[in-house]
Amino acid sequence: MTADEENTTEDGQGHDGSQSGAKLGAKPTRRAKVMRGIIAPIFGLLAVTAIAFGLLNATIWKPNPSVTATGYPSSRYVVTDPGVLSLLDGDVNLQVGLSGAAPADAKQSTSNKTDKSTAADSRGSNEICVAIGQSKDVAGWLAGSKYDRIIGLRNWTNLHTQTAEGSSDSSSTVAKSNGSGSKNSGTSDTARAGGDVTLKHSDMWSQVSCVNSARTVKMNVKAGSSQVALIDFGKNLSGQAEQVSMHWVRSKVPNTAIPFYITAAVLAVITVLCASILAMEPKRRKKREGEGGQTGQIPEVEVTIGEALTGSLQGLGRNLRVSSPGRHSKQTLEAEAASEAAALQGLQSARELKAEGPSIVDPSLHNLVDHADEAASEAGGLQDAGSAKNGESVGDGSSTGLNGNNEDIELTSIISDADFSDYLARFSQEETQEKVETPDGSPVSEDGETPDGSGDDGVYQGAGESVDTPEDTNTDEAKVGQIASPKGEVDGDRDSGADSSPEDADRAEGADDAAQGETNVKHEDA
Amino acid sequence: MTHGARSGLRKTVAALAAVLSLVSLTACGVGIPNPSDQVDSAPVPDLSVAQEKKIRHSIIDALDAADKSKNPDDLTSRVAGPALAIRKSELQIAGSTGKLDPRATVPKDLAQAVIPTTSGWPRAVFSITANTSDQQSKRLMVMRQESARSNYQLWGVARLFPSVTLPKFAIASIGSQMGSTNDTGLVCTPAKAVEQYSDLLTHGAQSKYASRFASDYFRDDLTKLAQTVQEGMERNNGTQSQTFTAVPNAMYVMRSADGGDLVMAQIDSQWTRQAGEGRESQPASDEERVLFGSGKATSTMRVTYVNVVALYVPAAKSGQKVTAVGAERQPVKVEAL
Repeated sequence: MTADEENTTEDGQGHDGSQSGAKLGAKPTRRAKVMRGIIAPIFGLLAVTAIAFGLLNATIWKPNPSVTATGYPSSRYVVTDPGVLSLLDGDVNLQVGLSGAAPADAKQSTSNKTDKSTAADSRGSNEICVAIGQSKDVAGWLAGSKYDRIIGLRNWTNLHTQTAEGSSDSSSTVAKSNGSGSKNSGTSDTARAGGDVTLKHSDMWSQVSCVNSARTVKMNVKAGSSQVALIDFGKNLSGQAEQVSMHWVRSKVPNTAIPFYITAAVLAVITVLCASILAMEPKRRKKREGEGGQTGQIPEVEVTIGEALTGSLQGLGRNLRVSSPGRHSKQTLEAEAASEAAALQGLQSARELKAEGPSIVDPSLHNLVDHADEAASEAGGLQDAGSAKNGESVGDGSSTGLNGNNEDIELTSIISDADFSDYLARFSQEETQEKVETPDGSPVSEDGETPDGSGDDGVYQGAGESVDTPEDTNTDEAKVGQIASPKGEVDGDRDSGADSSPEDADRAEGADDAAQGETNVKHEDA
Repeated sequence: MTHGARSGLRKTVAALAAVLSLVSLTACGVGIPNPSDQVDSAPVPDLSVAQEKKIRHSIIDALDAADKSKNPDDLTSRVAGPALAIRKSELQIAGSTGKLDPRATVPKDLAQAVIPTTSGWPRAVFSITANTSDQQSKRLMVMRQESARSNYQLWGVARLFPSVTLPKFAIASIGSQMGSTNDTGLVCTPAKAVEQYSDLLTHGAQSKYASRFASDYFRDDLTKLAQTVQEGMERNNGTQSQTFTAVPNAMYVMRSADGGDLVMAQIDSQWTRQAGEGRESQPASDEERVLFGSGKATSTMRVTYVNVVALYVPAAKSGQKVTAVGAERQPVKVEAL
C-alpha cells in the first residue's frame, strides 16, 4: 500500500478509487506536511550541525596532545596515586617547587621583603626531593606521616589532591615471623633509630632527584602503572606554597570527531525516514461490519497478524500431517482436500455474489452441499417438507441425512409454509398463463418440446436451476433452489448445488430435460 | 490534536532524546581518564634488576672500601648480621697477614637474582653470583632491608658447594614469594631444619636427625677436621668438643618454584679444646692465632665461630631430604679459659 493510499483512508474520501486517487495526488495529508515540512528539516539541520561539529573537532577543536595540570598541596609529603603518572601517557614531566608565596600570604610576602629573604635563608639547607617508586614502598616510607595525595585530574588543568595519613602498621607482618628483622620492624620512626637513610639515598626508588628548595625539581618519568611519585618538600616550608605540575604529551589523542560523524549519520537516516516512511499515516482500523452492512458493502476480510500466523501454522501442520505417511489414511486426505475445495468454492461464490451487487445470503457457505450424505439429508428434509404440502417427493431421500443433520436442515429449510404456498400458487398461475398463451392448450417450451407427464416432478428437480432473480422474491426462491439442488446432486452433479447464483444456475449441467424446460419458462417470465 | 499527531509528536521526541543521548555518550567518551583504570593489581617485585644490581654493587663497593682501609667501620652502612661479624674477622686477619683470604671474595657478576614481591619489612633479596676469577664456587648473597627507611645490607654470604643444584626460582621481573620460619608443606619448617642441622653438626652421625639430611661438603669437612684434632688431643690425653647452636630467628627464607624453601641461617659454634698433662692449648690455625693475638694460652682454649649455612628444605611430598647447598665458617673470637 502506498502513501497515497494511506492518505486516502485517512481522509475518508477513498471509497471511490478513481476520484480519491486524483485528490490524493494533489493534496498531501497533514501528517505528511508536518513530517516532511518540519520534522525532517529539523533532523536534517541537526545532521548538518553534527557534521559541522565533527569537522570542528577534527580541526580547530582537536584535543591538544599536550596537557599540563597543576596542584597545590599543603603537606610536606605529596604522593601520587597509582596510575596518575601514566594517566595520559607513559612519559610525564614532573615539575615540583615552591612558589614565591602561598596565595593566602601573597600580600604579606610581597610587602615584607625582609621576612621573605629570611624565609629563603632558613630553607637554604632544605631540599625538595622527588622519588619514583612502587606504591608499597612509598606507603612504607610514609608510615605514620601525614601527606597529600594526588588522586587524579580535577579538570584538564588542575590536579585533584586529598589529605591522608600513612598507616603506622604498613611494615609487614613478615617482620614478626621472619626472624632477626622482627626486632627492628615497625614504623619508619622506629627504623630511624637504626640505619635510617634520607629519601635521596634510599635504595627503593627507581628515580630520585633532589634540589635546593629555592629551585624547582624537573624530572622526566617513564612510569609504570604501579609506580608513584613521592615528593618531599622538606621540613622548613616557611609558608611557601607548594606547587606540583605534571605535563604529558599524549601519543594517542582521542578522536572526538568520530562520534559527531556517527551522530550525523544517524540523524541523516532519521531525516530520510521522516520524509518517507514516517510521513505515512498509520493504517486505520477497519470499520465495523455493521457500518459496512449499512452502506451495502461487504467489507474485505482484514487478516490480522495473529490470524495470519495461526493460519500459517495450521497450514504447516496440515502439510506436516500429509507428509507423514501412515498417520492418516488416504480417505482422510481426500476428505480434507474436498473440504478445502468446498471452502474455496464457497469463498469464491461469496465474492462473486459481492461482485454481482445484490446482497444474497449464501447458504453454501455452510458447506453442507459439498457432502453427499449431507445433501441427501437435505433432500430428505425437503421431501419431508414437500410432502407435508403436496405429497410430492423428489429423489430417493435418505432418512439418515434427516436424522443426522437436523440442525443443518433447520438452517437451510427456512422457507415457511406460507411462502411455499405462495410460491406454489404463483407457479400454478404461471402455468395457467402459459396454457392460455398456447392455442392447443399444452404447455410449450421455447424449444417447442412438450413436457411429458413427469413435468410436474421436474419442477422441483430443476428448481435449483430455475430460480432466477425475480425482483420481489429473489431471496426466497434462491432458498428454494438450495433446497431442491440436492436432487440434482443425487442425479450426479454435486457442484450444481453450490452454484446458487442465477448465472451459475443457467449453466448448470445437472438438470434434466424436464427441468430445463421449466427453467426456460421462468427466464421468459423474468 | 488528533491521535495521529500525538503519536507522531511522541516519536519525534523519542528520536530527539535518542540523538541527545548519543551526543551525551559522545561527551563521556572524551572525558577525563580515571587513574584506577590504569592500575594493575598483580604483585610486582620489590626491586627491578637494575636496582638489585645497583644495590649489590654498592655493597661490594663497601666491602672493597673496607678491605682497602682495613677499617670495619666502613662496613656498617652496607653489611649486617653474620656477614658483618665474619667480615670484621676477615679484616682483622687480613690486617695481620696483609692479605685478605681469597674465600672472602664476592664476585660482582651475577648468575641469578631472586627478588621477592613482599610488601612489608624486613625483606631480602637472594643473589647468586658467578664464579670468582680464580674459579672459586659461586656465592649466595642475602641482602636484606630491615625497614622502609633503611637500605639493603649484606646479611650473609655462603659459598655454594661444588656441583650443587639449587632449586628453581621465578625470574627477577616476576618475583618470588618470601617465606617464613614457620612455612608448612615442607619436610619440616625452616626453623626446625636449622635446629636439626645444628644438632647434626654437633653430634655427627650419632644425631637422631642424621637420616633426614643428605650428606654435604660442609659436614664432611667438619667431621674430618674434628677427627684430626681429636687424634692430636688424644695423644696428650686432651679433649675437644664442638657445639653448634642455631641463632634464633636469624634466617631468611625464599620460596622456590617447586614448593621448597631456600633458607640461609646463622649457626654459632664454640670449639673447646682442653690439653692434658699440664700442656697449653694453642690456636689450631693461622686465623685463630691472629684472633688470639698475644693472649696467654692456658690448658683450655675456646674458639667462637660464626657459621652461615644455606639449606634447601624440600616440599613434604617431594621425597627429598634436607640438603645443605652452601656454607661459610669463620672464627670470630679466640679466648683462653
